Amino acid sequence: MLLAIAALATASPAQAARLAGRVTDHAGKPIEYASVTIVALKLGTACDDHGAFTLEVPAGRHRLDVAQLGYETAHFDIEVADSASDVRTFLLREAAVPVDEVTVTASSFGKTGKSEGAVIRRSDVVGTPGGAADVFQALRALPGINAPNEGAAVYVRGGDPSETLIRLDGGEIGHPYHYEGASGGLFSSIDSYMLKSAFFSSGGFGAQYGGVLSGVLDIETQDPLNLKTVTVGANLAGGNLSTSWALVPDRLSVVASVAHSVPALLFDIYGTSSDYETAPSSSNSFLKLLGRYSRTGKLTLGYLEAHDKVGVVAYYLNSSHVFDDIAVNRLASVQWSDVIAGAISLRGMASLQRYESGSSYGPFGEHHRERNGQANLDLSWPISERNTITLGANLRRHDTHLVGDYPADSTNYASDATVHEKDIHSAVVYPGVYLEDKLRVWGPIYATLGARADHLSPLDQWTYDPRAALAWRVDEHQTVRVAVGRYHQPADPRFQDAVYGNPRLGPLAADHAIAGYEWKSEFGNLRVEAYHKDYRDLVTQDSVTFYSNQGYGSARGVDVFLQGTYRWLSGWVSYGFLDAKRKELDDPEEVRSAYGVRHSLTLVSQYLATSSWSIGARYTYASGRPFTPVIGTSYDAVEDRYLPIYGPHHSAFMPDYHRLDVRLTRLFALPRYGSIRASSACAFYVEGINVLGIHNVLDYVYNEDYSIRYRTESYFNRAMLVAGFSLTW
Amino acid sequence: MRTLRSFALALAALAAVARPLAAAPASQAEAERALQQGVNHGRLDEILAARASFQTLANLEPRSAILFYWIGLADWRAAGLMTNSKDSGQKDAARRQCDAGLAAVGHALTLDPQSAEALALEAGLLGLSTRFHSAADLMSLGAKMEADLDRARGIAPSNPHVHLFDGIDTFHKPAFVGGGAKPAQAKLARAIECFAAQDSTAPGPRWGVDDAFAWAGRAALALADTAGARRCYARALELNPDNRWVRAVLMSQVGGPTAASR
Repeated sequence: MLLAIAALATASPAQAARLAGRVTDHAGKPIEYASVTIVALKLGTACDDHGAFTLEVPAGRHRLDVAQLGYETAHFDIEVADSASDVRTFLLREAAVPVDEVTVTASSFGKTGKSEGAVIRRSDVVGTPGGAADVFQALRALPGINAPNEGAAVYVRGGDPSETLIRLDGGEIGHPYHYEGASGGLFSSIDSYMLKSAFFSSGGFGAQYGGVLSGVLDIETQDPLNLKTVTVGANLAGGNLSTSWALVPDRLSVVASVAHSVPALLFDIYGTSSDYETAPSSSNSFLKLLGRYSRTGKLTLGYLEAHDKVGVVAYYLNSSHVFDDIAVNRLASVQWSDVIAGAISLRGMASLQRYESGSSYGPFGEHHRERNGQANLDLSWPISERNTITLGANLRRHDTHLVGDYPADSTNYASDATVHEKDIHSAVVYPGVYLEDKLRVWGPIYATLGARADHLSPLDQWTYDPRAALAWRVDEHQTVRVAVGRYHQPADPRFQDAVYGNPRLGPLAADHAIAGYEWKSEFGNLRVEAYHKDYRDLVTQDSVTFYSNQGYGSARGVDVFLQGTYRWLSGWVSYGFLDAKRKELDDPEEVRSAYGVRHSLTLVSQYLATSSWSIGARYTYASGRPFTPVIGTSYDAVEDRYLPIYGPHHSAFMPDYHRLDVRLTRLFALPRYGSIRASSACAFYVEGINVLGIHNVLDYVYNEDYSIRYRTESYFNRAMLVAGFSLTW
Repeated sequence: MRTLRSFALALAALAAVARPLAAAPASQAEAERALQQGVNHGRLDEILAARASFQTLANLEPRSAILFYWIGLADWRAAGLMTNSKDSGQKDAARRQCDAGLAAVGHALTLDPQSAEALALEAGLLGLSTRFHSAADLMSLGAKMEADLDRARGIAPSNPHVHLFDGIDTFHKPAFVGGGAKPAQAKLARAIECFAAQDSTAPGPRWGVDDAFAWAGRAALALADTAGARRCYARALELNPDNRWVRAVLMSQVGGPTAASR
């Protein structure tokens, strides 16, 4: 037996052997202080400053792991002989920019953040002059949004706001605006306090986003588990109260905000209150309960509620009435995320949204009701440091109901006009699946390849959208990107009614092609991007089926974004050129897009005068949007009124738009007072809105015989000074 | 007897095979010493070498929160040195090191959410990272730092590192958010008290008593108390005579002995 034990000992492969190695990059440059381990043997060492190491290991076959910050961790299967004396070389690939942090996605202009998931943060929203601390208003200072008015609605590269998907914590949110009926949305109903970061892409976005033609705004809200803060803010137009409160540290936390806006005081000061029959007011509240049930698992319950109402004297064609609008939006959601098998991230969410609005204008009125539900499940699996697979499924159900009295004649809005009663109902179930692979193809070439398939229930029709984006990191400073993709979007529900529309209306389609160049340095970055977007199957009016998919169009242009910081001065310039044409609805031919603002320019600067005082300014320019002019009249003796004769569609242009806003901010802190602890950073600001007092034009209206054209001026048509503060403990 | 001898020889042969074949990773204690030596010398390469040792140990013990804590601490030390460099390229490197430190300490907190040491270090790294962000970001970073320190104080009210990081962060914070030398001085004094009262046999990372005096001296100097600063620096050198930063840089600012005079 002893002989057998001795023989076993002799036969054992575990002879001491010396493994000598040198860790280098591909250029042969030694990588200093890499860590070298053989996990199975619990052996390891660190390289010296020449990248050299030695390890004494049993002779035989082993797996060696070599890791260093800035390089991909490498695994080497090696054979070590007991008499080995050579020095082996182990190559590490540079991984200075992990796959997730390369902005492969086109048309996503980030001012901050290293990854494509953080284009704009709360501090940008709060700090952008003229942005009224509103996420949508702050976004307008970035390229890709060519807004034809001052509203918050997101008009992307010649498309209307319905072509942009807006998501909140992974789920779609419809109607996220206040005063939507009056202006297409003037402010966001999402309190900026809740914002953690927002990703915005104006084209070429990945396969995880479906059901839209032009853009994506993906908003993530705060999710701290351990903060205990309270923020109180107010300005001349309203106030807000928000909090993040850890109920059980590391386990349970609540984040909540309440904001109420009553700009009556502002209007009284600036003499515009007589325009309002009912002073506009809005409120929104958000409650989020976060729970962590394990090291990696989180469950979140969210509830958002927004109200607004306004009664304003409005003019349209031959009419003047009070436009009354009241809207309520409620969204309840549950989100869950966890990591399984140590690496696979799972994220699921389900939400129910209920939106209701009622509006009236003279003899006309509409009651709009939506019940939307959705569920998403996403899985992200980093197969290696070079490759991450993402896949998921979405289920959406949109149920839209519109009841109202609409004008029977689109040129007659007078008090005695004939009304047409309509009851429009549409329910669409829209499930989809997607698969996406983010990978480092070779060396400095990164790609995102994906595809999605969606099913449109009323038609029993599948759509397939392949998408691809490629980024070439030329060097540490320069990146070139290209992206192509196909996008589908269901038609507007109001066109799909069984009686007044076409329930067989197919989805709209668009193809994007984008090429861009980016240069980044410590002091700033420059990004230039050219794009072309082809539209197909846009909705047109049809004499037989009411509506059909005979429309088409295109949008092409260039976006430029230049951002810089020098000492205490920082800022950016954003310029967009857009040429957008469409044939849709009653257009007789392809004409300029109604939302096509040819040139848009934004200059933003901020100067830190001291550590607590800063001065900021924003200048905005946009060339006038197209409109259809009235070029003559005919007299209708039967109805005893004049009828407009329109010129070619969108053949005239509004005047160019200019606005300069300035902002003075003072950061400060309040000392401890009794049992109240000293505050965190607080801010007091004075904002000058439209300080040059430029009378920008939003629209034209006419007198009864169309002989005189009046200007409808912008909401901020005079210089205004707004002061406010924000206190945080 | 012969049988017994054969058995003993066989066991010896087996023991030789089973014995660790040297080149086992440096122990945690060795790596801690190497890190302190790098800090004493003000040598970035030595700090990074120590970090590599902690990384090696952490690769072998991936569920050890304390090893990830030490990686984060090495990153805090390295990033601090890099930000003081005049080479502009070092700023990017410092930011990367800071990010790596935050990732390491985040991992430590995932493994041990109740670690006051890791929470305080996270606050320290966040404080350092404010140098790479805008003033507006202070509003969110400041809240996160305060939350970490609040929790750390709640978990371990007498932990000297909690008060040390609190003091250093306060020293660098603008006055309008309660920062500055005066409030920092009080927190650093508390850190010194806690170091003095610390049970030398208690488990936990051991470092920083000389740092507490060095920073207290900087706070005193910022308040034009040169004599007080000199006393603090002298005490720091008593506790750690190898601290080159105090000897060569800080002492020279108050007319004390420099490296050359040593």
